[in-house]
Amino acid sequence: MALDPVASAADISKSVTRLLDIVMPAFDALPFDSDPTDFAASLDRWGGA
Amino acid sequence: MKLNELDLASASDALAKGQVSSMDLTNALLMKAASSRTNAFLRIDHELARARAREMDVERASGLYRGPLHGIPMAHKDMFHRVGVESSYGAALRLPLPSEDATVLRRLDEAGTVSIGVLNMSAFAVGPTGHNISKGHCRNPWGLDRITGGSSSGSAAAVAERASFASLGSDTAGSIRLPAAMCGVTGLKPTYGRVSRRGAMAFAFSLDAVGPIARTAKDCAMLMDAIAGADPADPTCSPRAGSQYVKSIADWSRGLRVGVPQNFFCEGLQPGVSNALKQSLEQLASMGCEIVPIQVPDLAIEDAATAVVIACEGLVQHQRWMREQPEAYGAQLRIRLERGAVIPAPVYLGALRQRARSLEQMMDAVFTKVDVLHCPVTPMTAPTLDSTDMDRGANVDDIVGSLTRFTRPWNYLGLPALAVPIGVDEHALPIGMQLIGRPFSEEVLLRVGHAYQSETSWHLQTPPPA
Repeated sequence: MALDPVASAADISKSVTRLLDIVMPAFDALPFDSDPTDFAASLDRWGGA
Repeated sequence: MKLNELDLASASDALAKGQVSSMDLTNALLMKAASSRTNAFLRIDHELARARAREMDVERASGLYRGPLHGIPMAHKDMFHRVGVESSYGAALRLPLPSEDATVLRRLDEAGTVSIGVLNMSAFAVGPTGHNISKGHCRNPWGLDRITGGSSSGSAAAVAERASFASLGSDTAGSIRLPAAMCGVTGLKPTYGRVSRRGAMAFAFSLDAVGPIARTAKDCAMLMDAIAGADPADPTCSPRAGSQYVKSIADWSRGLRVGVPQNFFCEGLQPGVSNALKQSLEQLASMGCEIVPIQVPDLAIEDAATAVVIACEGLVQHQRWMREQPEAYGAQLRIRLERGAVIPAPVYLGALRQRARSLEQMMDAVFTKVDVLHCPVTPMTAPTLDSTDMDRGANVDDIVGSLTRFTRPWNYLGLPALAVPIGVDEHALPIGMQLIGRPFSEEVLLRVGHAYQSETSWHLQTPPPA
């Protein structure tokens, strides 16, 4: 990106690391075949006919 | 009562009975918009609106009737494309003029509405407060030193100060529900894919939803009747046909199960918010609802995953414009978008893969036991503009996190959510409840909202005069 970041690299790294610490255990436990594109179908299933 | 003070349904009835014309209603709103104290309007189209109103009146007089929105004037968030007309996205960005109308605007055109102008918003629909450094901050009509909530700031402010009968907004993490609650009006975030986004500015395309803000649930239903349903031009739009929302909201039945979270959504509430929520539950119980205490799944993962999706998809939308027109981007925007550049692709894909599992967990834990979940929109009423100005040093994570923590999980889960006014705090600032339902159950939420508003008067309260 051409712009210098507003936040410092350390601040960006800290906030992203915090997010990763929360999500990674759950993501690592996802079934191997879970598909990032199947959410709409899932909504449709739970929404009934 | 002045004509601009009618709600949408009453204005429609008055038109149908020949008591008023579209021109009468349009002139009333134009006059109110021109004297707006909230900076809700970015542009007012006096002559175009009058020409359209005249056309709608002629059509009606000749026997052509388009439906209950025929001749109803309104204005929308400035992010829906109109052929040959600049959409500012609430920012000082130079963009090519659109070559097609947004599907939602085209559908409202076909329904006979009259556009009176375009409305303020957080720049690029990023920001839950309504601050806007290039267009001027939008101000809450209930307290001009207070935020409206964002990002559909102008939509809620204009409806609240009776300068628009209804308005389209968009909601990626709470952007319809937050301003609706803080401005004392009603707002619906539909199920992901329920309303076409073709021709609407995108923020985070996995989360964005277009929906109505209006005075009442019935008014929201009237807009949903016009805009919801499949759109071949938007591949993310569900192929399901839209429901008959107005018809279905009258079908109130006792015994609806309303879930009340015993965790997460009851934490950190201002006392006034807590009291209003309690009273709204008592009201729902008196109407025959079964109130069911319920444990909601922990939402920490969903909350963080939402932040991942917003950062990554937001940067996809903005990286070229940030490079070519950096002056259009304030500090708050850049801080939020820059994170997307350092989040690894597998993490972003993980956030998308997790969604179906999170939805399944929420459905199993909550929506197999209740029909509707009841919770706050925000833990607090509208704070001041000064205390929440993220371009002047207010902490972005603190502000965004505190305002959106009850709204953004529902974007991640794709579920419909309705904000309904339920009271005011000790400063006479509005408080809203949030009703969440199963996928594509907007008519159930609107039915509960309509029944509640048939028994209460919070939606009738008007902001203090100047």
